[in-house]
Amino acid sequence: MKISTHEKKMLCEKYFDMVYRLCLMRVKDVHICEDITQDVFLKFLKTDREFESEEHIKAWLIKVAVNASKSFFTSSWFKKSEPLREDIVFTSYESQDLYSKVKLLSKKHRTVIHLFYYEDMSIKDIALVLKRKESTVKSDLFRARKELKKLLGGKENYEF
Amino acid sequence: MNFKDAYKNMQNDIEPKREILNNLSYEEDKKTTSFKTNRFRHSFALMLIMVIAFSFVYFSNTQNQIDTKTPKTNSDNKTDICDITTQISPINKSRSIDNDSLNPSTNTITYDNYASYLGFDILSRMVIPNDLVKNETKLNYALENSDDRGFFNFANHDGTRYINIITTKLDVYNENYADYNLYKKDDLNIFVFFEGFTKEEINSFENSIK
Repeated sequence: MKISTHEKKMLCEKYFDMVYRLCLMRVKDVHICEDITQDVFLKFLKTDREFESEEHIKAWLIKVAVNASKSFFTSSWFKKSEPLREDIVFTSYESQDLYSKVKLLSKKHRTVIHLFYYEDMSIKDIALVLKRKESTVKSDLFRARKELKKLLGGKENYEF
Repeated sequence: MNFKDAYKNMQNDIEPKREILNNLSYEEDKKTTSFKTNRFRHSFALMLIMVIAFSFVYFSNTQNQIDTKTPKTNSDNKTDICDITTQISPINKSRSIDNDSLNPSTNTITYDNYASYLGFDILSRMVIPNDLVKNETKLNYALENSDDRGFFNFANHDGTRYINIITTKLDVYNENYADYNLYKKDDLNIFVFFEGFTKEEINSFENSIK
């Protein structure tokens, strides 16, 4: 389906949070996250490709967000500079604690955890979007949970 | 508590800055695109210039190397062989040539003498790991691993002593060169491919020790 500029803007509104949060979980820095998010939506506005469905658009946006943050890590700018850290202020201590623990996971694990628990994506969908094998995603998720349990200090109040 | 709920609560606590989205407009996008395109063009032009410069330098060097490989005249023979000897091995630099092996009365030119003259008799005192080059593949190994001039290095286990073995890359040399001489030390089971000297050079060498 061909999307008009107006429709694109509507979709930007709709998926902004999704892309922003995903980028934030990957880069762990608000300012960089904003830059990458802007880049992702610029790409979306620019693209002439035809999408099959809205699900396709969503998957495309996730993929572009993942790639954009990946290329940020490999950019010479990132290698040469030390980003300003601005921690997010949370309303509850639990959220603050959880965020600080999730941040300690590897980028790969953070992405999988986020897509699985926040975007409610199935392992199959995650594998499709990230272009990985289902078994790889499954083992990543398993390891991420295991690591999180360890980081959360064996708190029994979280059921995974 | 369910981790999923806790994680969602945590995420909902984060307030994305939606101003970014307000700043996005198609017109702005076009500007950005054109800026990026120009930047891309500049980078591409710069890269192209670098590639051309690199190619020029590379081909000039290659040409120089080919020039140095052209057969020399008979009058240059001595110098030529000595030059090659110098290039062969750091060990050979410190060795004096065994003049006995070049005694005209007892020696005619053979590959052994040639090896001796070039310092390759030191092979008999060297231990080269057998697993470095397998018997069947050593010739290919030598050919594949030699550099453009046909030289490559073997290091001993202790890494302190080196032997340079001259190899030939068959596709580099032309018909002006003599046959490639295969030299084998049975006790070490090592093949040494001598660089193909010209027939004139070999004749001249023979004449010099007769």
